[in-house]
Amino acid sequence: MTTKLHKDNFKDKVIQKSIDVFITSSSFEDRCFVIPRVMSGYPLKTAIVFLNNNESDKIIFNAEILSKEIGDVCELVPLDSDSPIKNYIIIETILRKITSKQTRPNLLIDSTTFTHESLLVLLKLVVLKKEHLGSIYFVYVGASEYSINSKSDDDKWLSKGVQKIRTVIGYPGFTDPTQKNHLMILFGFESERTKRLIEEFEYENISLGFADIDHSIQNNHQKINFERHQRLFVEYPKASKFTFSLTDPIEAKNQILQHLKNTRFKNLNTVIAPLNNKISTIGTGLAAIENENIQIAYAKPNIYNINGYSVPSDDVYFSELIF
Amino acid sequence: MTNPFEFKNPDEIKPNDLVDLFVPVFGEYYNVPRSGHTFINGPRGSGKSMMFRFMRPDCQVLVDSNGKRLKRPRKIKDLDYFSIYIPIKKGHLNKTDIQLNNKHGEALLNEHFMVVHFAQIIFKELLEIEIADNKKNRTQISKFYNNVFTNALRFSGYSENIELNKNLSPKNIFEKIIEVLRTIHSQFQHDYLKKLIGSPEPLPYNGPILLYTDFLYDLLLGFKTWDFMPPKAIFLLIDDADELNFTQRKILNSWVSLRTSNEVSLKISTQLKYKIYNTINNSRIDTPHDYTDVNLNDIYTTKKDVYYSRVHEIVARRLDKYKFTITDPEAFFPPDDKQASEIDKIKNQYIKDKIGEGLNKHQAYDYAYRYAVPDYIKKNIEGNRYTFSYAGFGQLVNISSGIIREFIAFAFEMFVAQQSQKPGIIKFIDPEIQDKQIKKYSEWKIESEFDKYRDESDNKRDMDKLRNLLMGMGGLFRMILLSDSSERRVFSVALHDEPDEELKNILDLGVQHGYLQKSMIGNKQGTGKSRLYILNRILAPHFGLDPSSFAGYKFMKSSVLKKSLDDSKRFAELLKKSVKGAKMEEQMQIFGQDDDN
Repeated sequence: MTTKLHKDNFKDKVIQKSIDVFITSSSFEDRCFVIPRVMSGYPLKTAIVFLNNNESDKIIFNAEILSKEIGDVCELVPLDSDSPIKNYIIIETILRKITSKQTRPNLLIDSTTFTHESLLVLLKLVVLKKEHLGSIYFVYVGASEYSINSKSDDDKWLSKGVQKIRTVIGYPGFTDPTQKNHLMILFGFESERTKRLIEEFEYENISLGFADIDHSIQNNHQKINFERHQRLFVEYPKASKFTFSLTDPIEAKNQILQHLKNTRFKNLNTVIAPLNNKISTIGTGLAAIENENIQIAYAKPNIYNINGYSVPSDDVYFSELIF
Repeated sequence: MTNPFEFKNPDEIKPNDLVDLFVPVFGEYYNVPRSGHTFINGPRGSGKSMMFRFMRPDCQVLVDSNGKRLKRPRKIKDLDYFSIYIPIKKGHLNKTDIQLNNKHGEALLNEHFMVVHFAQIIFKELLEIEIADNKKNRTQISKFYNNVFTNALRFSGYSENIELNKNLSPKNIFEKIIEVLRTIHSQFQHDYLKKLIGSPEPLPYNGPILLYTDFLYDLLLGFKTWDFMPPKAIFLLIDDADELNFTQRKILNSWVSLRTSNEVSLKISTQLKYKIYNTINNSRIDTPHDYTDVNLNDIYTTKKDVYYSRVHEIVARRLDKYKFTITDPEAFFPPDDKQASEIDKIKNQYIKDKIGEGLNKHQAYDYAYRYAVPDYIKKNIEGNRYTFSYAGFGQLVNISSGIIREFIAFAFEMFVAQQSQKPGIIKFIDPEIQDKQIKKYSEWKIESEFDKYRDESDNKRDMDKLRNLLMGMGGLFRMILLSDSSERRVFSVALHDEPDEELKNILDLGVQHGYLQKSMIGNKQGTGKSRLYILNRILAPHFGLDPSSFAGYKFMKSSVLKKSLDDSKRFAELLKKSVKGAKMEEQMQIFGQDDDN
């Protein structure tokens, strides 16, 4: 169950949860500051700020601000978005350290500005280590506006290009080469990247998902998403359609699994590429943890819209993962 | 009305249709259908998968050894080879998790994963060729199961009881084999691969290890004991081997190094991203000792007439297949009549003049062929590249620069435009529509597509340099076309010397993205070979060039060409004095630059 709160009310909510460990990720986006600022002054035992220091300098700069704002308990942990194995080892080591020093600590993960890949690896490791953890909470800060440096809706973009496509560690899926293949894309804004994925995978079955209007962050985003999604269907008329929640990971998980129950997709090798917000990415991860035959693919972008990615909204989405 | 240029995945095309549409290419690529390991390299769209589709038994039974359709299908036993198609799909074998075990038996476990995966596909293919269910086949295939398959599994460490029920059909036996392999594949993926994450210590693998030499190769040899199989090599058609991880590529190279090609030949297609030619023991595989290679792009730069005939036949077959009244590609893509007749007039005049000057007929024709179009562009339309029409099958073939899918792609757009602008039965594509669409396509290649590559690139500075280089080359060729040079149809730059690392890197980038093609020619001194870089003719409409197939080249030092990387305008200025009668005014329009840039 996800609760939508105004960010000013989040502190009251989270204070009741006795959070021991706070995990977040620095970013070039201002959204990375929202939750850490709420958490400053909170009696944390540990705070981890991941940062991809091979990317923009702004990420390193913002990580240092975060470290100062969070205080002494904060540890900056560099990652490298080009080295998934190295990142996995680092994230695993951090979690091992935490669980060896603290007994079943309560965890709050701010998913807002993680890369999809690191977030999914973190989710998988948290699930694997759940016996050693207390309650696990996720929080996400919505955006009131995306691509603020674009003049029209048609020009809006968040990232461009696909530098590399790889399977996400922890979600290799099960591949049976005698069966047909199915690519499921949780579509966001980027039609070009979506087309590139379809072209690269050359799978026989395609499903294109778009944000569920009842569970979208902002109606204006949903409108752009819907229009671009419609255009994709003109290009891929044989693709199947599904909707997914952008506000509730459990709902998103259920919608994905429900779509896969369709007899058309039974026994196919399904690969999911989550290209929308982090809540739906967590939903994708949970779906692939529940149905281990699902593989998750990460399409690393070439560039991000660093100068105009988003404006934080006042809404935060808070959920507890219960296994 | 069906668009005859619609792209279809070769897998989706039925054997009968495929045989109608496919133009055999093995005259040039003679190593492909012969026994021997072969790497077939070419960008997406160069026809690799179509070639493999044609080589599969369901198509091969419909044609003779020369690819000609037979009146009655031949038997599998009479085929020249028995091929099995093994596509490497993204995400199937190259799973990041497998790299979590990078020390303990990494090579063995990757090979096992590949072998089980390949074996499953192989038996699925056998299942689909529908082998006759008769007593002989039942006996031979169950013998294979009991003696070859079961033993190979046992030697690989598989201990389950997999006894076969008596008197099963070939189909049932293959299904049983697939089931056993699926169990092994499932155990490896579920019980090992998925458990690598979160495991603090190296995870031991206790399952069977199926390897190429001890398992898969033995099975493939076992196929030859079946009477319905041809007594020839088995080809494994491994499509898109770039989708393997580095370790898996080395493993595949190790199989190539075994030189078992008389029995099993590996035909490996790549999209030019394979890059590793070492085995798992780090020894190198070399051509021609270990394998031969075929580069599908080379045909345009070395054998242009062959390419023209191939596109001609492909288009004719498509038009015939979809029952168009006009099936001659020259008539389906007619040139602009007015322009063609004016060029003919110039040609005839030149022939007459040159014969009058004492040249023989051949020399006079050669002169007319060489100068008619450039002079038409220069004098009749005063260099206006927007007025010159690129319509006509011959020009379009040249513009497609050796990439068949490129021709099919813009022909598709032309057909769509014709349908929407002139509804009704389409007999041919209007020259104006051809011209408009090809110019649009050319602009798209150098603008939108280039921007996309730039966006996707790690090194944007290099992409900017490449753009400058292309603008420099295009501008230079345009300047030469409108000059008083003796050879005005220039499309390539030949280098006197070796380019330095930076220039080589940018030229390679151009080749990789398909804007340039690389070849070699004899140097001016006749003492060796020089590097030749050919501008993709798809850019001819953008730069207003004559795309005719024959063209000269501009020799220069690599230090001169390098100037274009930073400033394409200065590059042209620098070369202006070496081009007789060259003007710079025109040049500026092409570069699209002004002094502020």
